[in-house]
Amino acid sequence: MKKIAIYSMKGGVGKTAASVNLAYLAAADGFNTLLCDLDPQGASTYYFRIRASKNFSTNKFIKGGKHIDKNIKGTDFPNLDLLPSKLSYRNLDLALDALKNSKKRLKSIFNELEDDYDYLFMDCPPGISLISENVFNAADFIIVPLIPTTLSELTYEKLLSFFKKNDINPKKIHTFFSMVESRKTLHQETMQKISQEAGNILKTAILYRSDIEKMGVHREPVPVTSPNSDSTQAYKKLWKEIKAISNH
Amino acid sequence: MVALLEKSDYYILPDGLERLELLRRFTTDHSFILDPSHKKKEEFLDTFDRRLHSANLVLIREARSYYLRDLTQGHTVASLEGDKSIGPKFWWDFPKCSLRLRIKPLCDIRALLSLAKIERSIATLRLLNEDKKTVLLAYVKELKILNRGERKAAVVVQIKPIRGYEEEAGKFKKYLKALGLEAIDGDLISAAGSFDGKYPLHYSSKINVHLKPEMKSLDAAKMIFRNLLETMKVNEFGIIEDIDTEFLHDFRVAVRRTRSALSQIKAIFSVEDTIKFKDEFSVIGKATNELRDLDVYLLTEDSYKKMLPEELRPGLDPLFDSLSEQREKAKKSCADYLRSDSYKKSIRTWEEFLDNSKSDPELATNSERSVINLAKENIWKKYSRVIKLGRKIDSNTPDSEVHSLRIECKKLRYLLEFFMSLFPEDEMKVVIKHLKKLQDNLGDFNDLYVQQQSLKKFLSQTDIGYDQSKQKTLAAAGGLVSVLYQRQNDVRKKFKENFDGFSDKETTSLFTKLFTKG
Repeated sequence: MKKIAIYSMKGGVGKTAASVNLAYLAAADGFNTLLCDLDPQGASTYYFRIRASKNFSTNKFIKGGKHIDKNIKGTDFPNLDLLPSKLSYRNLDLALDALKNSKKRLKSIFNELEDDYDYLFMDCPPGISLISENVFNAADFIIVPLIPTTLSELTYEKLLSFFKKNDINPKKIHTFFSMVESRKTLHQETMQKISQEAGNILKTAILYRSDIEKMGVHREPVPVTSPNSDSTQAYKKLWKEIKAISNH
Repeated sequence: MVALLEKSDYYILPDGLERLELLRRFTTDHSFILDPSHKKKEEFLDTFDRRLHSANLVLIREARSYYLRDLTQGHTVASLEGDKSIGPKFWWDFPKCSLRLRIKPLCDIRALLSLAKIERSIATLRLLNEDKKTVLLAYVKELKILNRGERKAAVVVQIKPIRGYEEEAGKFKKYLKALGLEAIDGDLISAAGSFDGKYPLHYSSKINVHLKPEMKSLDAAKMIFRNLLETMKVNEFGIIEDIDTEFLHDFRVAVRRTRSALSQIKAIFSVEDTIKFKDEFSVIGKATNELRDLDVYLLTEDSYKKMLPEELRPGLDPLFDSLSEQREKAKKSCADYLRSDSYKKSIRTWEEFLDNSKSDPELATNSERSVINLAKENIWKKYSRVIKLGRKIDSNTPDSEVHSLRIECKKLRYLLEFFMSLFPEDEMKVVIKHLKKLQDNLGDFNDLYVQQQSLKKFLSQTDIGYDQSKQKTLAAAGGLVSVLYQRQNDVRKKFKENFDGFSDKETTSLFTKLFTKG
């Protein structure tokens, strides 16, 4: 099972859109896929029209095993399951902190799913916390959507230094440009600059488009609502790149 | 029809029922969406003896694409899309790909046959909850089998529960059951009802009879003979159409077993009848000898070539070319024979004899004895003979005596197989396992001997000229003879070890326990 986290320190960068569409495309490609919604806001869960069971909770999530098994739900799409998020995930940090091996709990929870899925996508909450650190340890690849602005550049650098400081392999990080507005010169310039300086930049950029913005209205992945749109094509390309890097 | 599609719960919808209405009526607080149906033509391929099916696989052709699917889970194990070759028959006719790799060890030398052509139309019903989330899928499948005129087979509902929403699936199943619809746990094709095809549903070259110990020997023997006759008959078309070499092989084994049973299950028919039918089956056997010999030689081509250094290998080509030519002729005469009146008459006479002959204890002293006694007696006698012959064999024994031991072992094996169902299965398996080891050793010894003889014959028939290509062929054939001779000696050395395994204390006491009266 390849474990892929979609993560950003900053919110509102197209993280959930990327998680939902990439997980959908992986499943459509024939891979058994699980999308794990770790964000207490539960946007991925909402997009798939799923609600977590009343009995599901942060504590059950942390226990893992059969508690996870019982709460995974099938989406409307073949090969794609979702582990819904709960609002109580906002306490995930505290719950993790109370554990002995607090930084690697997520890794061992997901290891139990090893044989069930080909791909695991994690839609991560923003910020840099104990959950993030768990995600960094659990994931084989960390995909970071980056809006090409100076501020994003700064947070990206912060992320890199966090990895170095905490002895996590920064090579896990792959970024792609997200919500790009091609008319903005600033976006163009920042993209060029970052591309030259940083390593592991995925070639495909996701442009700022209304069909992506409208996912919350349609509550379906973009390739389902607008199969022929530019956005769909872009996500397909992005998925292809991620598939390629995760396959060696 | 055997299982062709994924196993699941199916509910058969009777004709004339307004099916969508029926499904819609299930619930008022859920809504249904009906996705338009799509049609799919599929062809199911497998070997005559269903080797893929035995491995829990199914090979499906859709237009020019092939899908190898897991029968239980339904997922695609390997696929080949847009194949350009026309109607591959053997695994080696497929281009190199993972599908070919998967079917290679299973199909081996057997051809793939088109077992069924099916047109499916599938409509999907989706049950939605208040969030418009699909919580249940139900496929309404209509099936037509195209092989034998267009025939509507069935309309079935298959429920596909969605993970995390098992409750809804459970409710829907209850609803269907409450309506009186029949649930079938199995595959779609059997749910749709079996259909009569060209091929038997379950083919096995093994003897498949269930005898009872107290049965009259004549009745038991007739069951065995009928089973063997059935095997012969179902294999005829494959020999005539030259589908693969195993049809003839299985046919001949059935002929040989019939002859063996005629002489070994003693005094169940009159001496006169026994001799008459032994002769008939001997004629049938002989008519197919040449084709089988050639098949065997041609099947050894690859292994022969591997025995030789690379530069000598092309030298064998003229030999195999000439064998292929001979096979063309032999194939035709064998097919002609199976279509001939004389063959058909032999079979008909035998069938009538099995149907009509009555037991006559005066002319056939064993015919009314209970079969268990006769079986024990025959097996024990043959076993004792094998042990006696085997003990005499050492490194100085002439090949001809090894040969007769091989024949006796074969007879014993047949007897065990005829009467298998009278004895405990586990113990019979052990007995046969030990005998088989010994037989394999003796069989290898014999094959290697026969192969040398035929190569020598080929050498003596070839004019030795100064032609360079002939020289190469002679060198290659000569090289082969010496390799085969060496191997034959090696096999002979292993005889004692195999015979000891068969005649050890454990096996002896098992034979004594099973086949003596006390």
